[in-house]
Amino acid sequence: MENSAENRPSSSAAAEEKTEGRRHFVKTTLAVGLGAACVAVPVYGGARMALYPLQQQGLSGKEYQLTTLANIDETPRLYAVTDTVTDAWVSSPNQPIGNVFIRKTADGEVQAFQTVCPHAGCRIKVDKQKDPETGEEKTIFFCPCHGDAFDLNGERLHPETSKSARPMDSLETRVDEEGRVFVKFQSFRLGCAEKSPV
Amino acid sequence: MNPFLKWLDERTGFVTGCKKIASWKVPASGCFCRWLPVAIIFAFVVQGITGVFLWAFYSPSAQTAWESVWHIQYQIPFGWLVRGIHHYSAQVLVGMLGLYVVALAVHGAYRRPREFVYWTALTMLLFALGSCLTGDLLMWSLSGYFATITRVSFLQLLPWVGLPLYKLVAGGPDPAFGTMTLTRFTVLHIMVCGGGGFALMFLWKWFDLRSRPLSAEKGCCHKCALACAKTEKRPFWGWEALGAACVCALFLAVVLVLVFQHSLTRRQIADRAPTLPAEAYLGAELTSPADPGGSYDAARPEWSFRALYYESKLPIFSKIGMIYAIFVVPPIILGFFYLLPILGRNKFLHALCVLAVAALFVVFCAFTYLSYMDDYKNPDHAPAFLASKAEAEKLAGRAVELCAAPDGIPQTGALSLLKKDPFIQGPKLFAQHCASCHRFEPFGELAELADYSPIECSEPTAPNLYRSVSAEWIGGYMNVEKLLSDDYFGATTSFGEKGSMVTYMKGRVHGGQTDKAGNFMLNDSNGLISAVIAADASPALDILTAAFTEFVENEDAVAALAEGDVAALKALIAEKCDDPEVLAELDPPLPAPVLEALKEVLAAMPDDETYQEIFADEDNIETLTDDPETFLTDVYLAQLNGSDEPIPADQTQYIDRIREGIVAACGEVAAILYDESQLETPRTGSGTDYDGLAEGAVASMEFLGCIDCHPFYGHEKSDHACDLRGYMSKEWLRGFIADPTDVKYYGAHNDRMPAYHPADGDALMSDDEIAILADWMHGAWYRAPEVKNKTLLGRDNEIFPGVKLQEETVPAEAEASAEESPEKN
Repeated sequence: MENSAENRPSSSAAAEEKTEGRRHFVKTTLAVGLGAACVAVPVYGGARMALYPLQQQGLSGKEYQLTTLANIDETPRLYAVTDTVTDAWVSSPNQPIGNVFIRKTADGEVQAFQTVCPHAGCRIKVDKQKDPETGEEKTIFFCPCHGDAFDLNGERLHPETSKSARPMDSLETRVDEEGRVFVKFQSFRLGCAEKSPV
Repeated sequence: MNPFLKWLDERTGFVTGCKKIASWKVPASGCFCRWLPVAIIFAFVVQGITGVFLWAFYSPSAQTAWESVWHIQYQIPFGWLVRGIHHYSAQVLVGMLGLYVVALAVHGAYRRPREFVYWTALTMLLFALGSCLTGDLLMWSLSGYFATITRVSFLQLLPWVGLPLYKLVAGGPDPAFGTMTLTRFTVLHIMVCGGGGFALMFLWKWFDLRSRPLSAEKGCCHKCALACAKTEKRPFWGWEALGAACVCALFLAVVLVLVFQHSLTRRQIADRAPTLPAEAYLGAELTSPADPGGSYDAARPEWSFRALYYESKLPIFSKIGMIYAIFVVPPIILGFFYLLPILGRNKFLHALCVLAVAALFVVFCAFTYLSYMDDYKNPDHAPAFLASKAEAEKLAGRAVELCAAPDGIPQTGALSLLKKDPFIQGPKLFAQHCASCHRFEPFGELAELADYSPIECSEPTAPNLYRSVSAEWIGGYMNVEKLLSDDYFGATTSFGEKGSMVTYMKGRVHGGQTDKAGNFMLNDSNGLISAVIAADASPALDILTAAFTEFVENEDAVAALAEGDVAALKALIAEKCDDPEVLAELDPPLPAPVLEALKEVLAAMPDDETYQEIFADEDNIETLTDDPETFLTDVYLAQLNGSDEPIPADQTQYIDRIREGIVAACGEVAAILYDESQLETPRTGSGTDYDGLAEGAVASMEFLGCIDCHPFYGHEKSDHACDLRGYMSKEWLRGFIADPTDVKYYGAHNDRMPAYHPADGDALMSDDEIAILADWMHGAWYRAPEVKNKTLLGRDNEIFPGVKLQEETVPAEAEASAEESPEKN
């Protein structure tokens, strides 16, 4: 190519320089492009590896039989949810994946709540609280991290001062003919007013 | 200049630096060697990139190292690619560094002022080799594990420091190879060899750049840019840069070819094992998990150490000591290379040095070649090496199948899966404990199964157990000839010719089968055919008695029969054959196939004239009415053939028909026993009502006399022989192998079978091992399903998320038929 350029009658030195500049640009661009493509192969493979966690599906949303109607009353009880957990390459049966509060209301309705506080992910506990006016002691849900209190229906006791933007996360329940209680175990996005599953 | 750039440049010099790079000029050299450093730097960069990503997924411990590499290779998208590039680019890098050092030496480019360029390049090569050595172990695979043990054990050859050094490298005293070895090898591989190599690369380039103006000054002008610089220069950006990019692309292409080397042709893709995913054939090899209790005879170093491996095996070193092969000769050679800048001071000495380097290079190549030849072509070594390799490949494939099984990898690691896998452990246990007496190879109708390999037995003295839990094998018990053959009990002492089972079978069940004429059967008073039709109170006579007594009450029918109309009588006989009341009285009870045969025989025999003759005589009818038994013996049988036998000796077709029925009953018993073998646990129940026990099963076994000796769900008449409930089932086998002398099994009649886990006494096998053996005899191991979508690029052919390539595989059958068709034509 260079030879052909030299053989051409030199009409103008500026045009020659311009062509030379263009050629240099093309060569350099090709070189950088090819070099970048070469580096891109391992980088792309590695990036796909690194982004693998985004492709994985969690356990959330599966239904578990945790107790029977006969075993629950109005006081919430803590139940551990266990399942086969695949941790990277290790597959372990009967591993705890979370905890659930289950109770039966006076009307016989079965309620289940996530123990994870919707505010910042601490573990909510069942606690006793004295009513400052009546002095009566009652059972509530209480999150020790930031002091949020919920009533037994999961509603915030003091919505105006509560750190949590929403009530406790209730879980779908189902009771079959034999009185077995099933809970659809899910986790929800923390810190927002809306309850959206993750 | 842009104020921001100006601000930045004042503080960092970035902009000025970029400008310098943009106007960078390199020596105008035409030598091809100048591309080698470019490729080396690119290889280092690739190593770094891929290494970091692999590091993010790797877990160095004895229970997780192999598993995490398996995870990378088989589950993480493109893990196989990154791992493959990392592995093969390291191999190419070592090769390039070696060539570079040799090129420097040959060109005399180690001379003033480039000594440090040469020394750092040589050290870089050592670090790269160190990376290969340490990286081999990180997979914690069978090959890397045993290869590394050998290498590290060489340290013990050293006097004084040997043992402490060995302990330091391995991470403890023997048995040392484990998690601690892995953690320190990870550091050695990544930080010391990898990081050190990177640091050396910068140092090397620094020395190189620094020596260029000096070289020009000293006038040691050399045509090759490796050696020194010419005063004439040309800009880097342009042809030089494009050339460098092409060199990188070429390097990457070579590495990718190596990564895809087992998937390059359609044949290679079609030949893949159907149960293994495509990743098994992509990138670097992953042999099965390291097994301290196992062995790997084909453990060999990487290609770059093959020459050293061959050298260490030279006979001279077994005489003067291995320490010379490892710790004297290689350091001397290395020392020579390090001293080159001093040794090759002038042209003459340089020429000598070049000769020496060339000689060493030739020896390196020759030793490498010979080492491969020894493994792959030497008739003395190659078969064992290749067999060991094939065995390791099978094990690796199995490990992958088990890890991909629904149960996944337990916390104890993938090795524990292999350790309790009947497919892998069964043949080993059999070879170790059983094959000194038992054969294990296909015979008779038992065809060889693809995944059930025969096991050698030099002196078989016990039954051939190949597919012993099959209907065919169990059916062999119904045949005296088979029982007496070496495949069953021919070579044992308590069975054999005089064994009670054989005597019994000869006498009763199969008495007539060896005698085609059938006479033997009739004359054999113990024979089953006689029992059915000839004995005084045989079922045949019982049925006829019932039919005749009822028939004689119908006078019209008797009169009609006297005229020759036999139909009514025959219909009545056929009816009695199906009458439950009559059948309940039969002794022995008849199994369905025998009853069917008897029905046919009674319908056909005797002929109509004989019946007509008998029933035309009024005296006969009187006898029948008064005393049916006398009628049968004195009239019916006497009229039939003038003797007291119900079937004339010349009527062999009837005997054959009964025999067919008995053989069919034998088949039924074989089927019943096969059903028993398939039970997980023996049936539950009591009395005659056992869950799922086929109706008539006990009748068949009673008819053939099995339960005269063998206990079977409470129907036993003695416990002389082994219990047939759940015969050959897993539970039965476990108990039997544990202690055959138990009264439930062979009891006092046990031949020489050892008790492998008696209730009291030493156990030769653990309960787990016995269970594995029983499962293996049942062929009960996990069978992986065929892997779909196996293509050139691994799982689902997905290059970009959501973008799939067209299926590239050619179905194996299609290709096979395409190859066959020309031959047919």
